[in-house]
Amino acid sequence: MVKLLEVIKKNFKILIRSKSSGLIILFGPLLLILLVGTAFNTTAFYGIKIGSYSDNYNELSDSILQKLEQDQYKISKTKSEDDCINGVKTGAYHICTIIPASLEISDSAENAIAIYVDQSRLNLVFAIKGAIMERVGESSKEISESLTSIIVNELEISKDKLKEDTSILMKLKGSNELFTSNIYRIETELAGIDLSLTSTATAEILNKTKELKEQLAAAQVDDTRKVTEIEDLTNLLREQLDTLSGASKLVSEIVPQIKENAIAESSQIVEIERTANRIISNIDAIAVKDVDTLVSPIKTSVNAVSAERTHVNYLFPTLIMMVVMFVSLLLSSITVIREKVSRAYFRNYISPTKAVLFIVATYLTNILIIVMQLAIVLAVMLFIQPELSGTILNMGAAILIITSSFILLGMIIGYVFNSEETSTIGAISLGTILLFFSNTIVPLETLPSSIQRIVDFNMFVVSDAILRNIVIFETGLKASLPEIQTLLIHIVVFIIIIAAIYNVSSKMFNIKKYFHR
Amino acid sequence: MPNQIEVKNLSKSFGKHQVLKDVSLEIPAKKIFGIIGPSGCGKTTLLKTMIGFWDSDSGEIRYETRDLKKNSKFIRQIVGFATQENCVYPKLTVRENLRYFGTLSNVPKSTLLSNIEKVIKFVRLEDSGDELAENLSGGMQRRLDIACALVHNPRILILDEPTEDLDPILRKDILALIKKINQDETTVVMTSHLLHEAEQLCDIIAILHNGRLLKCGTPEELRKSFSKEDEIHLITLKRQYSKLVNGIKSREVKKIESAGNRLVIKTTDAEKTLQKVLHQIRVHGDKIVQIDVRKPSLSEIFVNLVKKSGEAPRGH
Repeated sequence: MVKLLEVIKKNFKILIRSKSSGLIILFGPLLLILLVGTAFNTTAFYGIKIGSYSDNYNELSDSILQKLEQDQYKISKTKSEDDCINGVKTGAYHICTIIPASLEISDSAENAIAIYVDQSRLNLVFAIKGAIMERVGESSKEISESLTSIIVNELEISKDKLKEDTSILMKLKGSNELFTSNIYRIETELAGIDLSLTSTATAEILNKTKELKEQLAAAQVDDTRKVTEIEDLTNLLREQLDTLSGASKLVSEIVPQIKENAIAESSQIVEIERTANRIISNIDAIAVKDVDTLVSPIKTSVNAVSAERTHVNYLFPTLIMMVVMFVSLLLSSITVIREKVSRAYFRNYISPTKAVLFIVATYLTNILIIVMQLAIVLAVMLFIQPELSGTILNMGAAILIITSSFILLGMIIGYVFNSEETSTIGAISLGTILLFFSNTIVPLETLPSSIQRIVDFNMFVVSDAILRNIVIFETGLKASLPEIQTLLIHIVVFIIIIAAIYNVSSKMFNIKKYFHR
Repeated sequence: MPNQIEVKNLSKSFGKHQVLKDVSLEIPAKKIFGIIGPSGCGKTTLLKTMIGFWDSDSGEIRYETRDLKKNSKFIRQIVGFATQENCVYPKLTVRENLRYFGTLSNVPKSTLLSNIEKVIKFVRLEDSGDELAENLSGGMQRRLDIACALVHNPRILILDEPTEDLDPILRKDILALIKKINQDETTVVMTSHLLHEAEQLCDIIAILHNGRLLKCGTPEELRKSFSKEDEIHLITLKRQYSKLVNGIKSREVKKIESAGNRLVIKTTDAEKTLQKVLHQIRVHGDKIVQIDVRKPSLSEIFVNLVKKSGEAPRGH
C-alpha cells in the first residue's frame, strides 16, 4: 500500500512539474467543458437573419413579419427574390421568405409563402424552419379562426332570424290548421247535402212528383190524400233547401275568413322569403368558403436554395473540413515536435541554414501529405458524385488555403509544447474546441451574439463556409472572398507567431536538456 | 602561431544561474584543444555559446579574426560540431544522414557524394553505409555523428565529450580517430571530464571549474605550474630504506619519506637523484624490485587548482 501510494505520488509530481503536460492534461478537458458549457447554456437562437421579399407587402404580410421580429429575428426586406435566395447561399440570411404579392385570404388567392433554406445546415434549418412555420402557422390560425368566426356569426344571425320567423310560421301553422278545419267543416257540410238524382231525398221527391203527376193526370180529382202528399213533398223540398241554405251560409261565413287569413299569410310568407334571401345573400357574402382555405389560410412551402442533393453532399464540406483540420493539426504538430525532440535538431540549428528553410520545409512536407490524402478523398467523391467535377479547381485552391492555415496552427502547437503526448492532446483539444464552436454539432446561432462575433473568426467556421459555397452552391472563390481574406490574415499571423517562437522554442527546449544533464 | 579561435571575457547565465564567468581562451590552428572539468562545470555551454547556439551575455568570440555574431553563417560553414548525444536521424541510413547534413552545410552536389564516401571510409563505417542509424552500435553512432560534423570539410571540429558513455575499447577507437582528424590539419576543440584522456590527446588544455577558467596551457606547462618536483618511487628487496637515505640526501632532494613498503623521494632533478639511488642500492647490496619516476598527473593538478580556487565543484 505504501509503495502504491508512493508510485501515485510520484506520478502526480511528474505530471504537475511538467507544466505544459499538467496544464493540458488536467485543465484542457475542463477548459473545453467550461467553454462549451458556458457558451451553449441556452435554448434560444440569437441573431437569426431572415430575408424577405414580396412584390407588394400588405397589412397581412407585414403582420407576419412583425410576428417574426417579435421573436428577435432580424428581418431584411430584399430588393428582389434572387437577392433573398442568394442571401441564404452566401450566409447573409439564414432563411428567405418569399411572400406572394398582396397576400390576401380568399378562395382564389395564391397565399403560399415560400421559405428558402440552406439544407446543408440541417440542424439550424430544422430548428428555424420549425420556429418560422410555427409563427406563420399562428397567423394562419388567427386568420382561420377569424374566417370561421365570420361563418359562425352568419350562422348565428341566420339562426336568430329563423327563430324570429318561427312565430310567423307558428301563426301560419295555426291559420293553416284553422283553414283546414274550416275546409273540413264546409266539406262535411256539403257532404251532408245529397243533391244527386240517386240520393234518397231527391229520388223520393222525384218519385213522388212523378206519382203525383201520374195520379193527377189519371183522376183529376180533389183528393185530400193527395194534398197531404204534396204537402209532404213540399216539406221535403223545404228541408233540402234549408240544408242548402245552411251550407251556403257556412260557406259565406268561412270564405271571407279564409280570404282574410290567406292575405295575412301571404305577407308573412313574403317576410319569410325576405329572411331566407337575406341569409342566402349573407352566406354568399362570405369571402372564404373553401374548406382547405378555412383550415389553413396561409400555406408554406419549404424549398432548398441549392439543387436537391443527398445528405452526403450537404455533409461533404464539413467532412472534408474535419479531415483537413484534425489531420493538419496533428500531423504538423507531431512533425514539429518530433523534429524538436530529435537529437538531430541541434545539428540542424547549428548548420549554415536559415531557420525559415526548416519552417517552410515542415509546412511543405505536411501540405504534400495532406494534399495526397485529400486527392484520394476527392477522387472517391468524384467517382460517387461526378457532378462535383466542375468545382474541383475551386475546391483544390480553397483546400490549399484552408490546409495551410491549419498546418501553421499545428506547427505553433508543436513549437509551444515539449513532448509528443502534450502536443497531441493540445492539437486534439484545440481541434475539438474549433469543432464545438462551429455549426457542425450545434448551430452557432444558439450562442449569444457577443460570443458569435468571436466565433465568426473560427477557422473551422470560415473554412466550412468557403467549402459549402463551392460544393453546395457551386460558387466561385470570389463569392467567398471575405472568408478567404480572414484565412489569409490567420496565415500571416501564424507565420509571424512561428517566426517569433521558433528561436525561443528551440532554446527553451535545450535549456531543459541542459539542466537535466 | 595565429589563434584560430579567440574567446574573450565570455559570460553566460540562464536566469539567475551564471554558467560561464568571464572565460577567455585562445585556440591555435591545427591543434587539439581540450576543455576539461567535472560534469556541470559549463563545458557544453561554453561550446554551444562558441558555436552561437546560445547568445552570450557578454564577451566576444572570433573565428579567424571574424566576429561570431556578424559572421555566424561563415563560421558555421567552417566549423563541425559533434555532441555527446549522437545528433543524427535514427530512421535515416548512414549515407542519408550524411547527405542531409552535407546539403544543409552547403556542400556542392558535385562533391557531396565523394565527400560522403571519403568520410564514411575515414570513420570506418563503409560496411554500414546503408544501415539505419538506429541499428548501429554506440561506437558506430558516435563515429557517424563525427562523420556528420566532418562531411562539409570543416577547418574546426568541436567535439563535446566524444568518449562519453563508451567502453574503453571504443573510447580508444574514438581517440585515435580524433588524432587522425587532427593529422589532417583540422583544429579540434573537445571537452572531457576524463582528465587522463585529455592529457594523452590534447596539445593544449583548459581547466574549467564552476564556469570559470582556472588554467590553460600545454600539459607540460600545467604540470610545471603545479610543481617543479618529480617523485621517485622505490621498492627494494631488503626494504632497509634507512640505510639508503643518508647517501641520497643532497641539495636537489627536497623530501624523503617512506610510504608503506616503498620509499618516496621528491627531487627537483630526477636524473641526478636517480643515479644516487642506484649507487646506494649497489653499495648496500640490495636489489631493485620496482622503481619509477612520477610527474604530477592532470588529476592532481586539477584537484590542486580547485582547492586553490576555494570553490566546491557544482553538484558535488
